[in-house]
Amino acid sequence: MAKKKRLRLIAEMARKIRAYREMKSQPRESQKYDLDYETMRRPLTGKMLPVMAWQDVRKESRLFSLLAGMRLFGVGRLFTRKSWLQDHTEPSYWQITKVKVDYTAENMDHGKAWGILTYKGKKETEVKEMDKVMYHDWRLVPKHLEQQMKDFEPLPEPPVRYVPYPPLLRAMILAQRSKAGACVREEPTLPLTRNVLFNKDYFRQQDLERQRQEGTAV
Amino acid sequence: MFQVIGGRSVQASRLLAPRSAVLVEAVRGRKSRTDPVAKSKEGRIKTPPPVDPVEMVVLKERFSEYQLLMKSLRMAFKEEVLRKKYEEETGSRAEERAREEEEEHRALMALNDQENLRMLRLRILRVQEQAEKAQRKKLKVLLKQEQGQQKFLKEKEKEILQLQEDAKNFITLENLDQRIEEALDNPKNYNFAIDKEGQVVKQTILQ
Repeated sequence: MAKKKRLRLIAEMARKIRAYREMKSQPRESQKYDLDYETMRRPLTGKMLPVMAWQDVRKESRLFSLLAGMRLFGVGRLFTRKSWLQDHTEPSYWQITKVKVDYTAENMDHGKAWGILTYKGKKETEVKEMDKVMYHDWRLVPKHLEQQMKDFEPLPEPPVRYVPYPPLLRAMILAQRSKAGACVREEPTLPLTRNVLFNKDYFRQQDLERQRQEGTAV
Repeated sequence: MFQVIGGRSVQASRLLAPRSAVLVEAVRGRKSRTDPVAKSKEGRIKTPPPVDPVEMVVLKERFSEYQLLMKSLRMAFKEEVLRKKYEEETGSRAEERAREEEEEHRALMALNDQENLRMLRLRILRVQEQAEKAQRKKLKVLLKQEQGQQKFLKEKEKEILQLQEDAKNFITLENLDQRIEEALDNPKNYNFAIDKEGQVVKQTILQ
């Protein structure tokens, strides 16, 4: 048996205090995301922004630069990103629900925001923290275009494509089927899906469908 | 700092036109991420390689198709494995197997109990026999002891009787005078001769 550990309460307290102080002395948002527009460097770390972003940084604005000039800091308004506008045809936007501004910033130019995302027309249900708030990429959706964006109905997902298997795998599957005794004449096809959650419900559903197709044995 | 690559982690463009004889790739080897930038690299602006838009479109399409196929293949294999596991746990065979196992277990337990009973009975018999044997032995030993004791007693009694009988012929203070007179009156002749044939000759005269 090891010797009983000495209860170092003061060391424990010191550790907690150090952790708290470290947490409190972290640089604020305004300091972290401050940018020198001439050299394109962040003064805090001295790192340079990537070259492809320089054009956008000069032309576009940060989310909070827009929010700073709006009533209620833009709570309830819709905001898109220029990259979304360029990349996708379906509208994607954030609807802002909550804003926490960094009061140490000069122009109230930095902070955190929360909202509901609608990505490519599909609206999510939960409020999430908005990421990439400090990117020079944001655009406000004017009020007369808001309804247009919200009205957009995303196209239904295209039906699952079925694709023949590669030849060796196909031969293996057919051999397995013949050994199991199921019908060999059907060509095995691979369904092209991206995200399927495999849990018990999935397999139960599969079993039910199979039973429905085959019919229960008499 | 530079690592030689074999195969998978190489981008397509670099494969086609390596400038050095061996394929090398920049890898964070000697310096860690907190080390300051070298003085020769202070004003360096890293530009990404130029991209041909037509080629980019074609490549993106092809890659997305390829990745979709690979992902769906992987999902198919994963599904197979998980399905097997599911069948094992909650399939129709699983219940039968569980029942069979339980029955087997019960049968074996019954067998075991039977065996135990049988062995118990045999053991009881054996133990009884041994106890009886031991008892008998003890009795025998006791008997022997008693017999020995009695023999001893008898011998001692015999000796006592012998002594008693001998005591009649003892010379006591009262008999002393009488016996002396008798002895003087009857001289006994202990002399005799014996020859080789064993014939005893009592011819010597007492003087």
